[in-house]
Amino acid sequence: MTEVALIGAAASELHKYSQLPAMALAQRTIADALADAGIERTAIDALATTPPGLAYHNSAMFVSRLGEHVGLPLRALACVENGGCSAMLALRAAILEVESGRARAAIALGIDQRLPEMPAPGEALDAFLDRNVFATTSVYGPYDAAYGLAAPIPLYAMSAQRYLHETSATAEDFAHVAVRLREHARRNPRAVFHGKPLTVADVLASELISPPLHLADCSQFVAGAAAVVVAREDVARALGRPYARLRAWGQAHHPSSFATSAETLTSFPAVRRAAAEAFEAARVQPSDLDVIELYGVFSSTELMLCEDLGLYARGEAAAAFRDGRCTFGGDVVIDPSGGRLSLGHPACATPLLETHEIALQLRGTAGARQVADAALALVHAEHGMLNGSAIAIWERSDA
Amino acid sequence: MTIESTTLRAIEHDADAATRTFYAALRERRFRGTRCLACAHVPFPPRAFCPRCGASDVEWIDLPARGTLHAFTQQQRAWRFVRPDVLGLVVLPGVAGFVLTKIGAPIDELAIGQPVELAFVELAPELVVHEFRPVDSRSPA
Repeated sequence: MTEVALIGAAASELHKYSQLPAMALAQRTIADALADAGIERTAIDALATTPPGLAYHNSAMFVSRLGEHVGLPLRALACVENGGCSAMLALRAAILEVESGRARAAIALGIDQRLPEMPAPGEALDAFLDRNVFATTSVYGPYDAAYGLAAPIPLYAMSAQRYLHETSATAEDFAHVAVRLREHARRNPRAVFHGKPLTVADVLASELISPPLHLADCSQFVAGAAAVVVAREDVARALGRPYARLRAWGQAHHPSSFATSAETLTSFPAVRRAAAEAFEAARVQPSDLDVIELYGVFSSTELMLCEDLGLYARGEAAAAFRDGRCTFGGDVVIDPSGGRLSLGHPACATPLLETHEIALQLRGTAGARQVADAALALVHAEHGMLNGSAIAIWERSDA
Repeated sequence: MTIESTTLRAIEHDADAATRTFYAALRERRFRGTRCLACAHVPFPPRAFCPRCGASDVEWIDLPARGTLHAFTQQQRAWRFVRPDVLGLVVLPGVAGFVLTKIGAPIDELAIGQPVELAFVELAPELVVHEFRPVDSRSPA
């Protein structure tokens, strides 16, 4: 089978609200990824993208307009949407076009536009509320939205509550995760919380958004984009630059959406199954990994993910974070970028922001946050409340 | 125009037969679900078909009125049911899946595993939702 190489990656600036129109941000991020790869535009045969945000207006037929806008003649062009997994599955689409032999090189783009949540000019408050309640009811469905669910935070809060109930972890342990990620963000100028130190006491003193989760236990929604270029390995070799090779993929979707028909709130079958598939295909153990980027959108979830991936036994991830085993100089570096809590979380772009970080790490160009001798890395993405999960294991080409 | 009328419109906008029947039953103060005629699976939320075995024939039954509180929390920010209101996930005997529901008690009086029982809350004449309350806190009739 054709080996797939990760040859280029780019990430935009991250801002609370969009600074550029969707087309301009998409085009600029794609151009940056192509420049990073050092590949000719004419070698690109496929483009897969996410919608420009899950709640963004004017997203109909985005991908065909984007294809026109960037001016690439393509053999494959698609928009992929599956919640938080969207960008990861856009990457999957790009990989499959390369693996099948139809594309020499392919681009995957994730983009998340956010606008201030204010009524449009001239729009009455009633109409604004009507529009937003209608939209969130449609997203969370009639059985959850009628109970006031306008974001999944209370569901993750109940997951966190169960984790505290079922293990010996404490709210302070959650805070330690948030602090660790903030320390990583200190090394990453792109992170929205770069240069903003955080202590355990700060986390516990932050607003109790949904008990037991405080504001600083939550990820920070931002606008932004990321793109990567994948290619046949012979194309990558001809470019003469360092690249990463796809070692394995794992993916699983549990038949549930958020918590309504899940079996447990503290361990996720889709994550365990995706991890089992990926590790078996890669013929490596979780302990072989040097660096990981996780789609953990709450401090509590970060711990559960580490356990479901097999890095730590049930209930033991908290101690690993607290004791510095998940950071520089430890067993493995988890979220050197700062993660969703401190890098910032443009949901539709996040899996490719993670992949961008891993591309730099495996190339040895991650600067102040470079993981020493990084050779084997994992990227994890999910949708719903870990109802579905996709995992890529990447290795340094000379490893 | 209210949050309730918008919610109802959103529910009905894309509701399947099971969702319409479920909310119509709540308006009559009944908490109903579906049972597969082939494999007896009772899913929550209800379905007009069986999501476990794929059979297309289901019957409507009254769901259990008593269950166990699996987890609970409050929301600082939301369209409705913000603090001090409590949301919870309830497990009902013989029913697959959690029931996300309003909990009719202050958060500091709740515990995981507590027995809870069904009540109804009318948000608007056309929108009635379920609520579960601790069994022990019932006021005498």
